[in-house]
Amino acid sequence: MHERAARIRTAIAVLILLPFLAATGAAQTLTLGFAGEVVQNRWNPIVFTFRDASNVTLSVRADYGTLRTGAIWFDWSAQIAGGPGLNVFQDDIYLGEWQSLSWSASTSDRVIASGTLNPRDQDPRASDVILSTAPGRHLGIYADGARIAGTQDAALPQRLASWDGVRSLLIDGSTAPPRAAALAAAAAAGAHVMLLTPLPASFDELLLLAPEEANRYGAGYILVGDAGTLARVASELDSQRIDLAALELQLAGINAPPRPPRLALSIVLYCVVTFSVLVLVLLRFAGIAGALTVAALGALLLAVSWSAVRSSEDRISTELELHLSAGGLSRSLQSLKLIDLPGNTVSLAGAWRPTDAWEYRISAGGTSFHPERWQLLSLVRRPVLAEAGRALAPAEAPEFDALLSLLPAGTVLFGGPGLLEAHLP
Amino acid sequence: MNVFRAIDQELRTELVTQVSAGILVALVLVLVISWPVGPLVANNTWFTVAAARRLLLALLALYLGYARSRAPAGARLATCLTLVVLSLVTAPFEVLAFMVSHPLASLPFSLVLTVALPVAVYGAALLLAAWLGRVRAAWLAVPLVPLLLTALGLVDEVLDRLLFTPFAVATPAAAGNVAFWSCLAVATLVMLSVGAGVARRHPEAVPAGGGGS
Repeated sequence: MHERAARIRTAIAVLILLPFLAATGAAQTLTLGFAGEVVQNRWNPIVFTFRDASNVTLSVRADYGTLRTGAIWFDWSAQIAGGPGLNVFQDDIYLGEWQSLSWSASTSDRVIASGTLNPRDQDPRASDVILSTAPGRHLGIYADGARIAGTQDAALPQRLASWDGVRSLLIDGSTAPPRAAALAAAAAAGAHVMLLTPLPASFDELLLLAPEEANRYGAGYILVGDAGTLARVASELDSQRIDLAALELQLAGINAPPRPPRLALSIVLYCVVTFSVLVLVLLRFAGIAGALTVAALGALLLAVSWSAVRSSEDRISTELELHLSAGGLSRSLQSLKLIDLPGNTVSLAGAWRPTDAWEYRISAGGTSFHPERWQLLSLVRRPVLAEAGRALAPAEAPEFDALLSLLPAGTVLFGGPGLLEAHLP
Repeated sequence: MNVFRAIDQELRTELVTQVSAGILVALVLVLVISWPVGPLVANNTWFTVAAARRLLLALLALYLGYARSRAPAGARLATCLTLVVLSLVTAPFEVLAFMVSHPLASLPFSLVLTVALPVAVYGAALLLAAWLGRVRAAWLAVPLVPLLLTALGLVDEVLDRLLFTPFAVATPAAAGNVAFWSCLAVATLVMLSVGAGVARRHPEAVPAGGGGS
């Protein structure tokens, strides 16, 4: 009898403690992309939530290799100070086509969380984010095959790169209002932000961003209207959507690779043969005096030609930045081509990604690559919200025609040293 | 005879002219063959030219060390300094290749190593040939010196350090390597200078050598 009562007491205790145990188990969560919808070959938001841990290192390690190339590792890490209570860390991470992807969060003495992402879950389609308590109600606005990511969290990211893989953002007013800066960042990144009316009064500030049905900001739009209007305007504007991946490639193509100074082989041959004959003649007929003469002559010639033949910098690079501007906001696209002649480790401030398959590492200190000697690195920087409307001269060179063909009709291109600004209509 | 006059005479000999011509032709060929063709192809000329120059001078030093093992002390010193002169007059090839190649290496270290290595090899060959000559096996010095260099390379492999390998790329981290070969070269020069000084002061004490080429 006592035994039975003890079992019942244990069962009751377990039932009471179960929610607390479950809550403890979910104390650390990592979310990649909006609502876990990771967009391949795009910058994705990464959010790590944890409790009661200090000095946490969050690491993501992905293999971008193929069967032919072998493993090509990408390492991303962040140092989080943390502390007691709830901690939320947010950043953006570019995810290419991975063979394996694992993440871990650890303190100095233990791993507090870890996980993997299945390569079969990769999807290059941009996502359509719905900020609503009932996202399913609005599916009619979207075409078939849309990749819907529903969220109720109104604390949307204000970093432009977070919205790189987002096709549209729908807000129906059933949640708390997000910040206007987040909407501006989403629109500037290229998303169509749709404000579904009627909206509660708390959304009036957001409506100030959309005086008309369609309002262009940076590379995207803020649309306002009822469901029918939004569906119509959005489908009309879809044809004007900028293919940002193609634009990045085109920009990298225009950004000519740096060229190290070269000596023609014929000149080298002429110089070394002449010098060799001089050495032989002087050694044979002038002995030690001849040796001293050719040594001095060689030193003099090399000293004179040093600056002409040798590049003054071991690292040479060319940089070209394109701003897609409209409504006072700009989305930046930045291409950097770099050659480190001796093959040193290249460390750059900020977050960059290579356009080709390269091993690289992003940490708090920036991005680092380990190129071979004389290897051309073609890099693209994480997009940011940039200043629009700089005083630049019109850029009308023929090499920009291909770039303009990727932008909406009526776009005017302005340019300065290393900078292009496209004023979208 | 004055040491400078001895070097002067040595440099004008048929042998030095022929080996200099051989080394210079080889360096020109190496430079031309290793020169890159495309604008973005890595220029790795320096790695080939520096290694070829060091190897050619070391081989010449090996031969001359063996050949001069029975020569008078003054002639031995003159030959050693002739090697230094040949290192100096072929240095522009390496500097030119360094200028265009941008290697992750130290040019001064490489130049010093390419002067020190032939002198050290010459000293080793001379010493070994002299010792082995007592048992009528001076010829063994020719294979023994390369074996010695290989053994030094193996020691580096075992220690996982860059201390003794004579054909390593002279990076700034290889200071120990340059110091080692420089010490051997200085020891060779000191040994030969002392020998030449003794021979000059007491000509009757040192038997006249009959060897050499």
